[in-house]
Amino acid sequence: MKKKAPPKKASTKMKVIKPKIAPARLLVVDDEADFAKLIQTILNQVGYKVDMAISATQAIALQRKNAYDLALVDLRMPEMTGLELLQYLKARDRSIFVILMTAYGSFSVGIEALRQGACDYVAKPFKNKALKEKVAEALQRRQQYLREQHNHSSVDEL
Amino acid sequence: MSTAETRTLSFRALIRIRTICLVLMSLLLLASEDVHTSPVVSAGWDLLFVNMFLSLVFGVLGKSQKLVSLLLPVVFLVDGFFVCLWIGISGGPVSYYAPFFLLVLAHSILVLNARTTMIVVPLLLGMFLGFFYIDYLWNLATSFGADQINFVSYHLEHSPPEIRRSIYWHQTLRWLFFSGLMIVVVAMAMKQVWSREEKLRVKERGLEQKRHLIQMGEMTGRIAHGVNTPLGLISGNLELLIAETRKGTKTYKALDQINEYVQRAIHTVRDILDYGRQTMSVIKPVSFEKIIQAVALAVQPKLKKVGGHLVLDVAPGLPLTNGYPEGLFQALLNLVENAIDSIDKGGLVTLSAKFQYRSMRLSAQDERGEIKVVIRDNGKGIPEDKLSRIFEPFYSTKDFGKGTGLGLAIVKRIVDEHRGSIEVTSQPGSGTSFTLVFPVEEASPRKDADAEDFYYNKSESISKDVDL
Repeated sequence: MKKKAPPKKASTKMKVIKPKIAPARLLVVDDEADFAKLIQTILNQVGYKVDMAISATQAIALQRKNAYDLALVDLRMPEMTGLELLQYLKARDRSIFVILMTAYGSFSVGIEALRQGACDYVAKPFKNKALKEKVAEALQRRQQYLREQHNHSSVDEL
Repeated sequence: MSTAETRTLSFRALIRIRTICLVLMSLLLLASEDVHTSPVVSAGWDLLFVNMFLSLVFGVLGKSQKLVSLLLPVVFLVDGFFVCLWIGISGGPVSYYAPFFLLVLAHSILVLNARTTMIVVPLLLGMFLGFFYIDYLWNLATSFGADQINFVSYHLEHSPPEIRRSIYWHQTLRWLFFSGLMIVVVAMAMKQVWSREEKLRVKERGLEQKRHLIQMGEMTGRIAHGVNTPLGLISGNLELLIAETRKGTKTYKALDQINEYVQRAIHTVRDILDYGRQTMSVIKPVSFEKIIQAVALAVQPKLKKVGGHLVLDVAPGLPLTNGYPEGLFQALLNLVENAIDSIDKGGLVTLSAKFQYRSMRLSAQDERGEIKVVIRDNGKGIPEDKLSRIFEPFYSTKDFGKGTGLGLAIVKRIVDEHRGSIEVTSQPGSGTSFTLVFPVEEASPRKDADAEDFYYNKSESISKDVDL
């Protein structure tokens, strides 16, 4: 982390020039630390800024500190299920998008996830490429959502 | 149809009238002074016994319509015999004959209504036999100067030895008949009880199986978590490694091979989970059109890879059926994926669906029908000796490692759950065709509003699945 400090300056510079390209902030929540780490590595490659949490409480604590664009949440965790955590995260920040990850991937789990407000779900094990695509798509959809919200509020103001 | 109805009605009427007759008869017989002496009383008791046994038989067999209809002629044969016997034996007070007349009345009504040989012929045959028997007894009695046929113990002491012998013979026959009847009844009752126990055992086995399935469901949940997580870690890290390794090197080849086998393992686990999963869903109106569209969409990548074509032929206005949309989607997806696996480049898979009325319609207004879905390919086909086994779990015609042998087992189970049928025909070299037929209870006019969007119409049930 410390080694990455110098290029950070460059990125801040970039931010100044093109603030829209600021890397998306992602949160990975999985009770399997190795798995969370793996996802972090995969998504770091793409250029996102990824934090990881290995429990729901840790995730909630992290959300208090930082604003995240997208969270990847494991469905089955000891303290709190992924769906509960999803509700929690959404309650604090309505604009956060959540992708649920499940080891017992089935169509129905996916539908339930979507119904509860998740934007997508991935079945473990997944291909790295598929994960990247899903994340990219989710972020794109979030951008669209934010734009719509913005238009909406500006209309309201008028 | 109408004759069958008449027969059941007559049968019920017979039972009712018979009960009245038996009650009257038993009262009269009990009231009579010479219980052991009068031949009328004796024959009356015989009839009573026979009827009691038969009632017992019917009581035991009550629900088996087949056996009842088989036994019906026997009842009438016996009835006819005793009725005739009773007519033939004189010497009792008139009141003894009252129940007999009732019985004759009951049978006349029956004969007039039933119009069936099952009743008339045995009754006449029984009466015929009874007539000959009584005739024989009369001849015997008159040849010794008797004025009536008395074959009970009271007369034994005073009868000449010839008469005595014939009486003994008669009594022996009587008791043989009754003990035979008794044995038959007991055997039947025992068989019935045994089959009832068998049914119970079958039921219990079903329950056991269900319990087993539930346990399996829980187990698959554990397996899912316990196997998929490490598999996911392995494959994820492997892909990272492969991305970092230069193509063509030894390491790259080794990693690639590992990756291939890991993917195979992932596939197998997924199939097993699909097979073990309970259909914990709610039955809903399902639109086959939407499901077929979803299937067509889902197989596009695979189709592109193989270079084949998929042709949809869905009849417009298919009625909605009740079923599990998820299950039907899975079943059709498996079949279409199999079809795509079997074709070569440029091959063709057709997926057609249409509505048809049931082959046995009760009337023109009978709207019940079925939806017929056919998945046909012009691929390599399945050899005949393997065709009968393809629905067995873990049986695969694909090369080792390519298939888990669960795909079609899943399809079969889903089709069974929908009370449908599946048939397969195949010509090695020219293709395979699967025909699925799902019953539609009422061909209601198609309403899109009834079937919610396929992707979102399964919500209540999922929470059970989610915890796994």
